[in-house]
Order: sequence, then C-alpha cells, then structure tokens
Amino acid sequence: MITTTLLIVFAAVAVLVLVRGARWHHRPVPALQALEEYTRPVDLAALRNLIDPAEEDYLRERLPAGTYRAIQRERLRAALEYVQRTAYNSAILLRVGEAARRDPNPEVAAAARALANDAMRLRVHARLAMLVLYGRIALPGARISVGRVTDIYENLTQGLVRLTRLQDPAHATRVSAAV
Amino acid sequence: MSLSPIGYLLWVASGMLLALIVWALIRRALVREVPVFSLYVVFQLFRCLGLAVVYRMGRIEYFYSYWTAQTISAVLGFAVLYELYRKMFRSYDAIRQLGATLFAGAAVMLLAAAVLTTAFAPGADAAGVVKSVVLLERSVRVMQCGLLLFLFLLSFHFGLAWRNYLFGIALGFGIFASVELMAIALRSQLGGVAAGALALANSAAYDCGLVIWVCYLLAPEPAPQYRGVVQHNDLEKWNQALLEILQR
Repeated sequence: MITTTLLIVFAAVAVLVLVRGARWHHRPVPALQALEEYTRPVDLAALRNLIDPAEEDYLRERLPAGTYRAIQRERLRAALEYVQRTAYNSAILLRVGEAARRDPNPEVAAAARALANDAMRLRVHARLAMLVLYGRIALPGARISVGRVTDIYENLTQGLVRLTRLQDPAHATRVSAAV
Repeated sequence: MSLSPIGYLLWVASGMLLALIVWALIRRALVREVPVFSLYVVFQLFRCLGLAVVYRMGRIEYFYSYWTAQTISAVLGFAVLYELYRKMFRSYDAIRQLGATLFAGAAVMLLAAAVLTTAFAPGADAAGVVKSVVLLERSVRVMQCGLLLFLFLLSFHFGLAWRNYLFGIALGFGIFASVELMAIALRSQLGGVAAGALALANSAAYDCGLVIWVCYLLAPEPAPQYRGVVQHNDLEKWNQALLEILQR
C-alpha cells in the first residue's frame, strides 16, 4: 500500500510540474524597453570590492580577529545579495537572448546567441559562487575564490548593450543602466 | 478477449493521431531535428496497426506481440528522453556536456529507485511472467516520469528556453507516462477488479499525449510575446481618455 501511495504521489507531482512547466513555457519575455522593471540593479564596483582578496587582507591586518570576522560576514552577505541579483538578471537576459535568437537579421541573431550563452555561463557561475559565499559566511576566515562572476556579468551587460544597439538603439543607454 | 466500444474508439483515434504526427514531422521537416522521436512515432504507428492484425489471430499471439512491442517501445522511449536532454543543453556552450551526464546520473538513481519499489511491490493480480512484466513496466514508467520531472526542474533552475515542439514532445510524453504510472500502481494494488477502467484511463491518457504532440508539432514556432511594451492602440486609448477629461 505504501509503495502504491508513493508511486501515485510521485506521478501526481510529475503532472503538477508538467502543468506548471506549460505555464512557464508560455510566459511572455520582458521587452528591452521595459527591462528595468524586471531586472535588479547590480553595483559591479561594490561587488568587486566586497570579494577582493586584497581588501580582505587589508581588513584582516588592521582589525582584531573578532571584529574582522563580524565585518567580513557582513561583507559576504552583501556580496551574496549582489550575486543573487546577477543570477536573477541572468535568467531574464537568457530569455531576452533566446527570444531574439530567431531574428531574421543575422547580426541580431548572433548577438542574441552570444547574450544567451553568456547568461547561461553566468547562471552556472553565480550558483557556484553562491555556494562558496554560503560556505565563507560560515567560515569567514577561509580563503576560497568566488570565481569570475563579476567579469562574466560585465561581458553580459556589454552583450546586452550590443543587442539593444542593433534592435533598439534609442534605448541602449537606458537598458545598460537597468542591469 | 474483447474491446469495449470506447476502448475501440480510443485505439482507432490513437492510430489516426499517430499518422497525423508522422505527417506533421515530415511537413515541418522535423525528422532531422528529432530523428529518435520520429522513429518512436513511426514504430508506435506500426505497433498500433500490427497489433490490430495480431489481435484477431488469438490470445497467445497477441500476448507475445504486445509485450515484445512494449519492450521495444520502452527502449525507444528512453532514447527519446536522451534526445530531449541532449537537445535542451546543446544550445549553450557553458553546459553543452551537461545533458548526457545529467541524463546518465538521473537514470542510475531512478533505476535504483525502481528496483527498490519493485522489491516492495504488491502483486494482487498476477503471477509468474505477467507479474514480472507488470513490475518491469512500472519500473520503466518510474524512470521515464523521473527523467522528465528532472528535465523540467533543471529547465526551471537554469532558466532554459525550450523550442516549442521540444516542449510539446516532453509535455505529451510526461502526461502519458504519469497517468500510466498511476494506473499501473493502482492495478497492482486493486488487482483485476479495476483493470478494465484503468486500461481505458491509460488509453485516454495516451491519446491525450498524442493530441498534445499533434498540437505542438502542427503549430508554427510562435513569435515571442513581449511584456512591458506600450502598444500603439494603448496610447490611442490614453489619448482618448485624456481628451474626454479635458472636454469635461
């Protein structure tokens, strides 16, 4: 009886996920002109500072151990918030890139493909970076690099500006400010 | 051994729907895009027609033909799922190799789960070879459902964008596999009492999956729908409303 119940629950969950997937698949793509309504701003310079090893060394040398750990935890929490934002934005930009991928203009299609690829790369790196940051919040003294999230995010924003210049040049500046 | 009128209707409908799917695959030149799925559909069509012929020959002939076809169908079903995994991840350089790896990992874990559920399986309705075949069929459905569930969860997690026809294939397959898994689980618990009703539910779910495939394969790839765009007619409505206010 338990096995039967488990199998029925499993199959029912599968049906629910499929139905949710159908709704998710047909959801509209955020328009470039209104991107700032859907994305979350990321201060890249601040994120770079928060995960900069030299900055950490500077604080470690000048602060008492307890104070350093407390401050470092706060800095890592802030970095985590920024990395979560980059992951969130990458999901939106992935959809924007995918939607423009079938554009009849080959230049637009190529820019869109590059944007989608960068967005996916960022998504993978951001997830890994989040795991590292959780670990470092638990052990603020540990020295583990959070990877290349900032560089990839910078590439991604440049790719977005490139795509916007091709599709809607009037909004290029506004769109770059949105992410 | 006889089919109810509804059962017969569902059987005929499945044959027609499969023929329509083959036509849609050829018309949209999708055979090259999804060769394994195309092979699967052609096989299902021949199976449907072949079993209709064997059905008239006798019980034993039908039994062996049905289970042989079911085994081939299960193998092809896994191949279709593998094709879906590969196609979903192929578009992105960062995760290109991930599709095959995740498929293999998920398949191994689900195989272990299927073996476990088989070990604790009740078997009220059959003995010997039939019981083994029913348990095997259930394990196959557990794995297929699990692989599809995993694929959907991965696509939510990574934010993967599906081509419309690929999504339709996965959705149709998933609906059918899930309902069949429920039917098999209930049949092994209730025995022969509900066998007729469950077989009908199974056929209906299969036809439902085929209808989903037909819809998604016949529909052209839709243009993306954008949100947050101010439509031209919206501006006209705003303008009209403002004029009305100013005229008051």
